Amino acid sequence: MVIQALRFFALPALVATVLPAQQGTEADYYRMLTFPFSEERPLEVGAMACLSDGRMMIGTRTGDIFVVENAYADDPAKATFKLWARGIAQPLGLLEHEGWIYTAQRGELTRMRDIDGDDRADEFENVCDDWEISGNYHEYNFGPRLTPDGKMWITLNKPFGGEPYGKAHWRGWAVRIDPNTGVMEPMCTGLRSPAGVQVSPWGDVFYTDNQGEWCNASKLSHLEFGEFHGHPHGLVTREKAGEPFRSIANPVSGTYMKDLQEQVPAFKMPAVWFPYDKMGKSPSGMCWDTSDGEFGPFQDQLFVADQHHASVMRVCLEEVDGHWQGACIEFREGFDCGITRIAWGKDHSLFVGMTNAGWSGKGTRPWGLQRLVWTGKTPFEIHTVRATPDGFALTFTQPIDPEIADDPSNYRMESYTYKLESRYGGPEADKKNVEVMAASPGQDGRSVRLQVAGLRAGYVHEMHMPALRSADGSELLHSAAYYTLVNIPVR
Amino acid sequence: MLRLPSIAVSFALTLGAPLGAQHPVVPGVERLGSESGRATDRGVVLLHELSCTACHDAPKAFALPARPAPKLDGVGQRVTSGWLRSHVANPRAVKPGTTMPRVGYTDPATGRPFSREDREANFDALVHALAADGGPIPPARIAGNRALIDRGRELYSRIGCAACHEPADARATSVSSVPLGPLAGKTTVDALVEFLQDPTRTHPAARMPDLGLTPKEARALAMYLLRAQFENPLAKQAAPPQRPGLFAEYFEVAVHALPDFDELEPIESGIVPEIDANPKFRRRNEEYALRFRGSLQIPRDGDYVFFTTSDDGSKLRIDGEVVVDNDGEHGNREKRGKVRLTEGPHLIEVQFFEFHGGESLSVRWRGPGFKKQPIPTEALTSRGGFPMVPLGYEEFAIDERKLARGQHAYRALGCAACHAPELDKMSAKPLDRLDADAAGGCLSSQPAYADYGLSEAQKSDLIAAIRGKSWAVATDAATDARRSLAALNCYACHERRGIGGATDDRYDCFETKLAIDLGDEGKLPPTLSDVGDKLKANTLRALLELGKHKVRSRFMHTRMPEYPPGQAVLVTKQLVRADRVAEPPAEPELDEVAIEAGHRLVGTNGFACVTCHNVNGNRSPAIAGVDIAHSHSRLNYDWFVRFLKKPGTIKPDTRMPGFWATEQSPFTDVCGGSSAKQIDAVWAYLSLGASIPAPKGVLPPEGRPRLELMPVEEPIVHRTFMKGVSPRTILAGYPESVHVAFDAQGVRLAKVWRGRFFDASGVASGRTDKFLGPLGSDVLDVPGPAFAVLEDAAQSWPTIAKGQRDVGGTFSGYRLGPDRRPVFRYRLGDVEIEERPVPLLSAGGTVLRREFTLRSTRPTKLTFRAWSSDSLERVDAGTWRASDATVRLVGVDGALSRQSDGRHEVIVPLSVDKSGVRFSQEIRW
Repeated sequence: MVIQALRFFALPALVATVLPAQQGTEADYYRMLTFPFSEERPLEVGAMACLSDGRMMIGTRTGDIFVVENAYADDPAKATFKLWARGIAQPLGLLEHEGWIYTAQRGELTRMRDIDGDDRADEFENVCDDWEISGNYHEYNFGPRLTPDGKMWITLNKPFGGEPYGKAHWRGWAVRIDPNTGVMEPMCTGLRSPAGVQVSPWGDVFYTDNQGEWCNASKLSHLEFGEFHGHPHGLVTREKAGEPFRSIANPVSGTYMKDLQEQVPAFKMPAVWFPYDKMGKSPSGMCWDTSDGEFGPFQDQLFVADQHHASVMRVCLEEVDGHWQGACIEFREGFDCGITRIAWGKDHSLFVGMTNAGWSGKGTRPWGLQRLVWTGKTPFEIHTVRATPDGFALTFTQPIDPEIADDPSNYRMESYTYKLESRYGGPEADKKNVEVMAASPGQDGRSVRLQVAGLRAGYVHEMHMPALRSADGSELLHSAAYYTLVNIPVR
Repeated sequence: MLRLPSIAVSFALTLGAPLGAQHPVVPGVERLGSESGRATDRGVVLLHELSCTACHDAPKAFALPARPAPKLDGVGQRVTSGWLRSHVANPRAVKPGTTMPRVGYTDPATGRPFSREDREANFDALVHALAADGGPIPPARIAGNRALIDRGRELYSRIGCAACHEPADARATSVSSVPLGPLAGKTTVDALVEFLQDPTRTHPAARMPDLGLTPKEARALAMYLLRAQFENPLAKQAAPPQRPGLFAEYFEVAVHALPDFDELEPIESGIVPEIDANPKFRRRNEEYALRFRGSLQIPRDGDYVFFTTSDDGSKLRIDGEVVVDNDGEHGNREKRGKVRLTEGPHLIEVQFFEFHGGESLSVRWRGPGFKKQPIPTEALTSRGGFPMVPLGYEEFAIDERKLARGQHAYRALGCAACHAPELDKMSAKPLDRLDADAAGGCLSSQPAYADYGLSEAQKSDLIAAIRGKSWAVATDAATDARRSLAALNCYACHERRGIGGATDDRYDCFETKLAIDLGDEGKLPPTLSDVGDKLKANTLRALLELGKHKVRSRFMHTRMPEYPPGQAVLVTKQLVRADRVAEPPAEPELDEVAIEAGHRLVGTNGFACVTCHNVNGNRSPAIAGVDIAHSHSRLNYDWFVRFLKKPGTIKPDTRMPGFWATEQSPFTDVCGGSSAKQIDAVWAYLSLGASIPAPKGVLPPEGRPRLELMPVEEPIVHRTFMKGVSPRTILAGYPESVHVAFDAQGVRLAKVWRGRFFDASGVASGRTDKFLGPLGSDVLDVPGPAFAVLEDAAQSWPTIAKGQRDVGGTFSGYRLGPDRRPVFRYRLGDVEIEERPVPLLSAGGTVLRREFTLRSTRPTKLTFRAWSSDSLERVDAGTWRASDATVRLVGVDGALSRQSDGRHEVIVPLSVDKSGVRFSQEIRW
């Protein structure tokens, strides 16, 4: 990706002068273990969870739910898959809660359990089926995810194309369900293809959405009650949803998203935009690093998978003026197939579940299961990007060479934003170069403050720093970060 | 012999028609043989087939399949006026060998010959009267197609046409062919297609029976039969007709914008009724493109706005000009364009491409006096190729005065006696007072009224039947059957007791479909020698009438035709009476141990019957003859036992070996080694019919889907979309090969079926949006919902509209028992309902029991509906027979029959409290 970044900035001279011999690869720091692939037994992963007894549970898009024994063996061929349940309609999330396994099927939130102790589910209860389905292929449901108040969140994909059983309500919504009463509450609308939903360590709900019409760049967004996230499809249900949804107006195509709140006050800006093709194409599952260092140096950061690029990205977030925002950075690519789900194992390795079904993407296989294990070596990476009133504060995973880091010409930055449009996807709009005026390495040896001219709120700030070196001369493993600057901090 | 009317001669010569047999051809009579002992048989069948009794009353009707004359209603729509003109003057001129006599030379009222002028004027008037009935025949629309003609010839030679009609190469045959005459001047492809698909609509005698042709087959056959029209120079002068729908082409390309379609080769093309992204021939839903072209009928002058909504790009052109440009890779997006158009047809072209993701395309318009709406299908047409035009085709104008005279002649000349017997009866002498030698009579050398052109042999057979007073001679069932089979010409294909069957010179008109040698058994239709003893009477009737139980159609090209109900019932009765043994032994009781033994014996760990037989679609690894899973539904038990003991004595040419020729079977460990018990065991196993478990050694059915679900060890519960049910369907498949679909959306048991379970690929592969139906057979729609709260006994039962939810309650979930069978749980008001489907092995196919348990925290009244059908008959206290199933209630009283909304229903009012109510319902179908 260094090469790509350089091509973008067209600075061949830099390549010639500073490319050092010392350069690790992603695999040196995070190794991939691949569970055996079988053509006969498709393992199209759509859901994963680590059970309280430490075993992994895997749900497939085709409706099987497996319990994996020996999932942590260094030889993945030693793992065995036991069919715990089958015939579930596209489970795209698994959650263990109070002795039940919860999953959002096509038509309902279901809970399942094994009563007779033979490790196979025998009881299946309908917790809630208040949302509607028309039978369109794209009415996927993602979740559930449990919030600290004991409620469960589900995101409901909107249909694309024919709706055999007529228009269905609640498509394009995030809903919250009380697992004890089955009562469903509408939470947010304007979702398009919300392939990942997750609860942060501090209890907030975030989701990923895939670019297309009315979601013109893929994004990570924070979900809070009453919001509109851009796609008008869900607004057909606003009457049923009541206030505050009833008063949400349809957006006008072609409005800059940063300005949309003037038109539609309920509109919520994303936390992070994933610029198309630079940072995947189809963000899906995600999880926060709660490994306390067992998975490397990224505690409290968020990993986001991509179903097109067969990659995992990294996101650091901060709350600025009441809005969660932050940067995305490449982390690991080269998985076997487009990734739908990632989940922690009990040993703090990252299970990576994949299927390309119905979609095309990178990778060499149609489905699969892999595991990412930290080798114990720390890569030289941009660790965190934070916004400051006049620029950005960056920290690194290793001490940096201050002689290089203090030269502003070693940083390239530009900013752009997106319109909300009815067209499919959208260009990086209103693009401008951002001049780095000063670069000041910190006292701790691992940070640098960038003062820039022309910060723009509501813009992605894309920054490249391939020339930076660690104190021992290593190149950055990934030298670009994409910070979605919704708010500029005052202090 | 009278001179042929000149017009008929010239017409016939135009067609180059061979003037073939001049006596009526009744091939079934020829098959009875020429011995004098059969003269009465032949005479009786001739009396019947020539419709002699339409004029000459018989004291007693013959027991023969009814033979009404063709219905002439709407004949003008089917037949050209030129052909009619020749035919009324002399039927044999255009249809040599016809059983229709020549009439109209002598006035029946006076007994004197018509003058030539009167005669010609009558014929001319008749043509006007007939042509006016529904006609004149509309011009042909279907375009000629050389490949279809070839396909038609192949069909004609294979499916049985040439068993009765002349073989395709026109060679001489030992048995006369039923004449077709020079058809190319008679009718159009369009009209013939309609006739071939439903011949008994106009020809209720079914002497030309229904062969179950698909529309495409009928078109191919019609084109072949009228092939002389293909080169008709008149065709090239006719304007190619506009046909409904647009011409659509399908391309496979990976593009991000509309391609240059003229540079591409379409993969598929065809006429489609509307513009959308999913024409029927689309093969994939990514990386493809479509082009629609044709004519758009503009209703009146004015401004029109066209709207396209597409994902991805599209472009709409009118008369070559781009009106809506919606090109580019995008999600569902609407664009519009305005154009001023004049009334009349305009060229329309819509291009579309899909790269990745969702795909959709719709076109709407708005114009003077109408709001935005889809373009109606009627407004879209495209140009066809050159139609096939009848030889000698001329425009024909109906003369009203002639028409009136023709209508009079129709009755006066005796046409109506046969063609509309409800109108007229000719007052000829009754059969028992006929004088065969009377001058001018039909049998004389100069017939005055009705000239059949009878041969001397035919005359002598008719005289034998008349003089022998055949109507007064009691006949046995075997004679009746023989005569019926001759009348219907079953003998063209089937042999029975030494009569009929494929002749040597037609042997090659019978073929095996498979590229393996099944001998004559795989090629020639079966013998009927003991068919009334072999087949169950209901099966025989269904085979004759409904075309069911055609077990040979998988490997035999020749088709068993379908006959009208009256004929099927008569022939079945005659065959059963003639053949069935007296006091047949009773079938043994169904026994699970026997089923298991039979299961083994049929498989490769037994006698390996599967070497030569398929079993319910599961394929034999070698030579696949008849599928034996149909045995129980077709065969009489005692015949089966006799056949299995000594196949060769029952069917001398069979390849079936006798495994149980002696009392001791080679498999001594099964059923104590008793041959008789083993045969019974095989019968028990086969009696499971469509729910039969596959035996060892078979291959799965051909084209088995990769994601076919097969409940072998234990039940499978599978949630999916199902066609005709809902997107919230829960399927339960059982190893007993009975399966159910529970609709968790409307909340009801929706379908039950047998055999194979389900193809999961509908929602598991590709775009996952296909609604598939059951994979098996014997699909029964269960009338749901099962429970309702009725205000009073007269209230209608609730219905479930498409997409409607929670009509039968709210769905609570399901629980799997230790046997892994699901119990579906739902709640109606305060009542918790558990429904457990249980398969019950049963002869004729596994049946279903639904076990219900209801509980309520407070006393509640609700009603169970046991069944709803267009007919319901109470069999005993707890059993009702409906048109589609038989239903038995166990453990519940108080069932009521009622009629509601035109349906017959059985309902059971229930009172439920916390002590609960348990009962079950057994469904047999």
